[in-house]
Amino acid sequence: MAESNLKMVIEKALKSLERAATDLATVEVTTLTGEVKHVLGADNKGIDLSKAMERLNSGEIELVAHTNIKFDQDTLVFVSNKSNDEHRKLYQLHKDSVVAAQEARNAFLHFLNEFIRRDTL
Amino acid sequence: MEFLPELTNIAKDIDSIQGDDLNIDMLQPLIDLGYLTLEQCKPENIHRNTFLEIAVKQFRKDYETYRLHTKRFTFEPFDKEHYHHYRTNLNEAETDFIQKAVSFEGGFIISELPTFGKVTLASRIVHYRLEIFGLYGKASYHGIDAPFTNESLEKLQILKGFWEWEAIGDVSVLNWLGRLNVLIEQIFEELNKDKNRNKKDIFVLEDGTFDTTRFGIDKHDTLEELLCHYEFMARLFQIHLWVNGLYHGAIDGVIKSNGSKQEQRKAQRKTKREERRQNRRNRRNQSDEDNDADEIDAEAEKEEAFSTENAIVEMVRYLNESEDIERPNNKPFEVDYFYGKWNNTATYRINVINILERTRALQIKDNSESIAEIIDKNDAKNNAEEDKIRNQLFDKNGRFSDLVKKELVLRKDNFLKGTRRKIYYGIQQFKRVFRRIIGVFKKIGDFFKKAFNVIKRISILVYQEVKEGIKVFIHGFSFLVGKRRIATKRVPKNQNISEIERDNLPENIVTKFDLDCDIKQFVCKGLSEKEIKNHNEKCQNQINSLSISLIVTAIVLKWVLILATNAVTFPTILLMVGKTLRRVKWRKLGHVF
Repeated sequence: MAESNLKMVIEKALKSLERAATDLATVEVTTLTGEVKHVLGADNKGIDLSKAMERLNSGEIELVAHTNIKFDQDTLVFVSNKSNDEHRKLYQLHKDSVVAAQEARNAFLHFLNEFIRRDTL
Repeated sequence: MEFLPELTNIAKDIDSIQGDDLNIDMLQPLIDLGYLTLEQCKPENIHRNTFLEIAVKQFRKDYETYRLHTKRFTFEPFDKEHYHHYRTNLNEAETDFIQKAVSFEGGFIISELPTFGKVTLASRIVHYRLEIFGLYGKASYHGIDAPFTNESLEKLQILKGFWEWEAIGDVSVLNWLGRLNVLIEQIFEELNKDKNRNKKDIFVLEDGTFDTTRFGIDKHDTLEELLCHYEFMARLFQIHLWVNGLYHGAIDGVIKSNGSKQEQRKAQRKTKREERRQNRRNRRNQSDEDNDADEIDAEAEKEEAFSTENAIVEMVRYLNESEDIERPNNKPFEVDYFYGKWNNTATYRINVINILERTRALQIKDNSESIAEIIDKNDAKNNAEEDKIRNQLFDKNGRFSDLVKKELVLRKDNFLKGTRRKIYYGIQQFKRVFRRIIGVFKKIGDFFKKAFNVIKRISILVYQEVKEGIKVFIHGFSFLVGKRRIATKRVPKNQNISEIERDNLPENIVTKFDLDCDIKQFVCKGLSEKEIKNHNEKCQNQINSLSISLIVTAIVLKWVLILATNAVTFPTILLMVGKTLRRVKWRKLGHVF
């Protein structure tokens, strides 16, 4: 019965959480842009991000910015040297996404903390 | 079937019981505060969405001004477009706030009078409090959404005069109105004074109009003051019963007797039975005749169930069964002690103060935060009564039972009738009362169980808690095991397209979160600033929600791992998510909301 699968699901999830927890030390945000036709998946509707990453060096897809923040807050930022309006909008989105990634990471750390502590609410 | 899809299906089933078309938990407080009228939000109103959009927009503006800064939330799945839904619906945080604003537990304290001549959130709340206590809204120019003026407080001054509260500031009295316990204590204090002894009774005729001739009127009190006081006390009494889960009729200060109606019904039933016996003897059998008569009774009883008199009778039963409520000479209370004919006249006397005093014990502190917690045996003693309640709430497949569905349909019908109070939105007091009612319920026989209608009352509350909880849990759990992908499609301007057509549009922006919270995103070239901003806000709303949903998920998962495999049933999970969300929201992370 599906109900009794829950424990298996959780145990499986816990294994992937373990892997994720080891990688929480850094936050990485990558923003790409280009014509959507180059990155659509097989269904012609959804964007295939791995395809976009693969085509990064082909000239069809551009890297807007990439940010890498280490646990001690050491930060590395790469920003495209284009400075038109389009890129300015995209870079703003990138910066907001960096904040979102950090907030998501905090929420995830709280999750882990709540999960491993002995007492509960 | 896998666990998550099955749980998602259950959540969809739960959602569909009530449907999106009539979200009463949001609509009732919006109506109470004058943002909307019942007519405007009825499903058949063709301009309904426009009215809802205006109401939600105005409330949000007021709310954000009041809170200065507020986070937006959504517990919709990552892959679901929630933005258009937002325009006509309050989110979870906003709904909690507005429910607190119309509660009577001090959920909204005013520090100064609202700005004169303006309509603000504070002016709406003040008008709402005054109106529900019968101190505002009789004149045609008065409305909850009218600007706050000196006239708003006219009747409050009359009430203050009656109790000689002139030295007390208007703000204090307005806050008493928003905090029932304090208000009642203040009135008790006044009644302990010798000069006020004759103010504890109110007198009404059978049709509910006030009989002012019976009052040993103080020469200083005018008839206007007396009427104002009578209406205020009658409403206070109704609100008190309502807040304590014992009354669900209109808060109108009208306390009618069912006595003659019952007589009429008996006579009507007898006549109908006779008629049918004569006319249809050959065509129909005895049980059909009985059914017809029973239908007449059931219909009339349904209406009477909402009467104040019925609430008093029920309250007396409740008081007599409660161990911690003091009874004079240890004798059971009689209804007459609170309400009954006055000296064989046509007048009824209501001893409001006796009622308020005897039900004071209801306010004793109890730590339970949710109904789900009360009936979730995994957290409480393993009790057969809780099992019985659970079995009535859920069917064998772990879905809500027909009884719950029926109650929700009834709730919708009652809401659309517009004359009845539905659910009291207070937080603490309500839970205490229900724990007590269940306590009483365990000891008493079927007759009283039927009278208290425990299951019916609980079912809606459990439904609400579970509906909200499951949504939040799935949000958090999906982040852990799901796709964590937020996409925006470009919808052609000025074109009304169906959901299916929308599904077939290509994506323009995608943001993908890894489990370790790294982000990869792709933005199509040539998008407008507004399109990018909308997508960004969508992402932000989802991340804001994670701080709640992941905590709820962690607690629930931890519990599930502790439980034996055979104890992990869907009702257990549903109750667990309901109670966990309440605890997280109200005890530990209350500041987040």
